[in-house]
Amino acid sequence: MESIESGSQSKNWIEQFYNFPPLFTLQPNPSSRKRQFEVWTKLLQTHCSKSNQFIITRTEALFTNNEISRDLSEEFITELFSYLIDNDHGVPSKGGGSPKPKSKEEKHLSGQGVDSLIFWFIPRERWYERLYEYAKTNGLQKGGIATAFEILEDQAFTGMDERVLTILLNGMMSTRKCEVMLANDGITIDGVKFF
Amino acid sequence: MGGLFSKKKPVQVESRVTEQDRAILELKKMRDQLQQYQKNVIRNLEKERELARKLLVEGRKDRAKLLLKKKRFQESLLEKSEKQLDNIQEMCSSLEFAKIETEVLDSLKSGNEALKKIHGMMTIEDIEKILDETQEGIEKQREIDGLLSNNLSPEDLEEVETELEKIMAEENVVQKESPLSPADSEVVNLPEVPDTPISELEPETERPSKRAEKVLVEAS
Repeated sequence: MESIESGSQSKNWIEQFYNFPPLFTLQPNPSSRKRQFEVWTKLLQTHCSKSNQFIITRTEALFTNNEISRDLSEEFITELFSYLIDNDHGVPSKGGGSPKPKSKEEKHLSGQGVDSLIFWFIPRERWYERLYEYAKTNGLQKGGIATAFEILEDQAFTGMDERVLTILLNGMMSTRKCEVMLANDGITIDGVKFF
Repeated sequence: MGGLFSKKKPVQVESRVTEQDRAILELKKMRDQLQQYQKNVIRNLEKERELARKLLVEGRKDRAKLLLKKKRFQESLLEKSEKQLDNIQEMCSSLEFAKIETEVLDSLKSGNEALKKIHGMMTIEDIEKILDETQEGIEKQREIDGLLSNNLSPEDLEEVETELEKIMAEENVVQKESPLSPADSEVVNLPEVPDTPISELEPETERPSKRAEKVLVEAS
């Protein structure tokens, strides 16, 4: 159900769901739990895209609904984070986005120990497109160089910080549309060359 | 789900970043830094102006003056940084332009190479040879044409002559023996009368044919 449109109709539908108490209780049935997480994903997407919020922490305001006095349990948040990570809606904000090697038992709980998440309120691929769009509008698409700073200054990437950009650009390398240029520490991205 | 993370692995290909790119990046980084510095200074200036005004209101003129001096100094710094920024931007542009120029040169080079290759494929000698061969072919064809027409003509012409004479003689005989009779022309013209309905035509067609027979009998 990733194709839920963010039109006004579905928004209402999503907002109605937010006041639905069972949404705040971890559903035991796998399929309803999956559905539940899908709704949460949609809620987070709507919420975060409004304010260009990239980071979701365990204390995210959305996780507490005062209107119906419900909030998400720690276990729920861990499960939700796992779901988000496993479905590429986000990555743990620590460790520069490179996933820690996981053992088989841990695999279904990738959200364990994750305090905050970099959340893609629009899919990663769309971010890649936006970045390339940026390169195009600035005439950089043929071997042009842009600094990380100057990309982050652009309106299209409001709310994005260096960490998020680093993960995105590293991911975008696989499309062969760009190559990152690292600073002397070998981690921080100084700039990027577009192709 | 493990496969999901595969896309994050950095692709190990040879770097497409050149030394020039690094230089441009350094310049651009410097530019960013200067811009940030300027922002900072401007913010400070605003603050100090406010502070100086406050001090004046409080009657501490000396302090205010000192602050304004400091502000003036910072303004000069801002101006300097502005110039540096200009320099950097100019340098950036010329570097990028030089890069484009080398690309232009490269494409010209490869174009030239391609042209040379194509020219290498057809040497002047080849062309001359081909043209010669074509000429030879044309001449040969002409020869054949000539031979064929020459071969045909002596016998054929004779035959044609004799045939023509024969036909003409026959014609003459026919013309002499049977001068154009009206009946004859009627027989020939008959199929060309199409418009009348068949029912009316049928009895009429029989009559001329009888007449024609009669004419023939008369003639022989």
